[in-house]
Amino acid sequence: MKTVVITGADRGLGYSLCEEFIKLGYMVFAGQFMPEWTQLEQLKESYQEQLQIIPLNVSDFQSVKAAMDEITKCTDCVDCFISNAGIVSREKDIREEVNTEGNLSTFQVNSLGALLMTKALLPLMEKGDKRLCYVSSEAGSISVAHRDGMYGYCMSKTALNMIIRLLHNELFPQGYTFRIYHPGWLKSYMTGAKNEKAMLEPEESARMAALQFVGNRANEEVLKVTDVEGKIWPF
Amino acid sequence: MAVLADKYNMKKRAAFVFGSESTVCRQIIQELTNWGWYVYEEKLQGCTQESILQAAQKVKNDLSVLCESQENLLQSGLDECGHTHDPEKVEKQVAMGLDLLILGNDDELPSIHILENEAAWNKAVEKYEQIINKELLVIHHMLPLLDAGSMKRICYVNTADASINRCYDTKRHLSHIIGAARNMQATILMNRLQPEGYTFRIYACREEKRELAGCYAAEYFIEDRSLEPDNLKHSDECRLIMRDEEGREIPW
Repeated sequence: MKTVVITGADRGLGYSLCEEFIKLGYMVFAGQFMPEWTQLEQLKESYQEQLQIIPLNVSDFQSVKAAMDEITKCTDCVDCFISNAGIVSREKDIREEVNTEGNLSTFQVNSLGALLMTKALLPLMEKGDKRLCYVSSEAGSISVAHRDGMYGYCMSKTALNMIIRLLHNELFPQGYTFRIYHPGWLKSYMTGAKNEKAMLEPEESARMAALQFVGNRANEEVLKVTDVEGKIWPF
Repeated sequence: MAVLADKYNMKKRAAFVFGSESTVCRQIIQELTNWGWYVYEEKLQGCTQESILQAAQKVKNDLSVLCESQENLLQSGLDECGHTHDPEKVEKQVAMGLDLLILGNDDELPSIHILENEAAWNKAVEKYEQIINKELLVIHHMLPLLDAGSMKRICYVNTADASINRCYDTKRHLSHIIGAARNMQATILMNRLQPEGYTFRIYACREEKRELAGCYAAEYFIEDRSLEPDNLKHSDECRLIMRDEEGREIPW
């Protein structure tokens, strides 16, 4: 059975990705940040053998180490890693205030968290499919940046894209392949409550993401950001 | 340099340089000073929110004094050399604010590989706080002074490797990650402030041209680009792009 590790799996896109990969027959290690949110436990009741819930805060060294210990007890091979965990902090206009604390925590989770997890998983991925997948965002694209605020979130996603480029520079020659996914404007819980104004249900986006994450491409050396329809977004 | 100063009519202009300890910024400061600018500076290392506030206050106070002395000159009917002044010219010089804000790069960034260890991670967090957050605080505190200036321009010194499209390096992770985030910061800021008349520059240093990078940067920062309000597609000021020493565009 193939294995996948998914971070930020409690709800929204991460949870839906767990469902998709279970359907695809994968053994899913689901990173759980919010134990009080019981959706994953409910899924586990139906898929005892295919789903392992792993407590995980991607921005915490000890938490990542503990998660790796848990995963290593169950398997010696991870085929696919999906970095999905992300946060957004509230920001005011630049003339009013700078949310330095929020900027930093957003960077630690959205950017460095993805890197830390990648680093931790590499030894387990050596024997697997070597597929590294990152949920980024159009918000990280400088070329089409349209916002006049949300510095912390946008910069964290741009930093993530650069991190993926650096990983690609180093790991593609070692056989790793990469996916960068812009999930669309989701009815997710990024800001706390479910965003009903958004365009897409997480399930729809996860379905398209899973196809891109497991499928192969002709030119794997080309690093690109793709959306739900497979359209390419610029950096 | 004197010729340049006349060419660009830069007399009596003021700039604030953040990250002034870097080699590039030292050169920029030298160039601007040669051209007759008032240049204020703040170092990146050891900078705090308090020191940024104090720096903003100092600039404000200094500019007030300069304004006052210019007002006196205007009233006296003489220019600084004791000649009878051209009222229109002196009047233009009286409105003193901060014209240019320059955000330097940190050329002391360690060439760490972030996959290395926990210490590397901690260094990345520390540097992000020190550079990205402090830059935003500088912008936040300097905006009222820039509003009062005649140029309203914010400039970033970055590196060509901050381009996600064109970064082939596998070693200096931290510099590239922070550089890319700064490019996004500049872009959002441009979206926010361009409607208020602000313009932006990002100068991409390349290793090969390091020695004269500050000279190239200074000239790029003070030159205007095409701007036709009635034809925005003709207006290079409406788009932001990194440019190297020859003005070549480097993709994001």
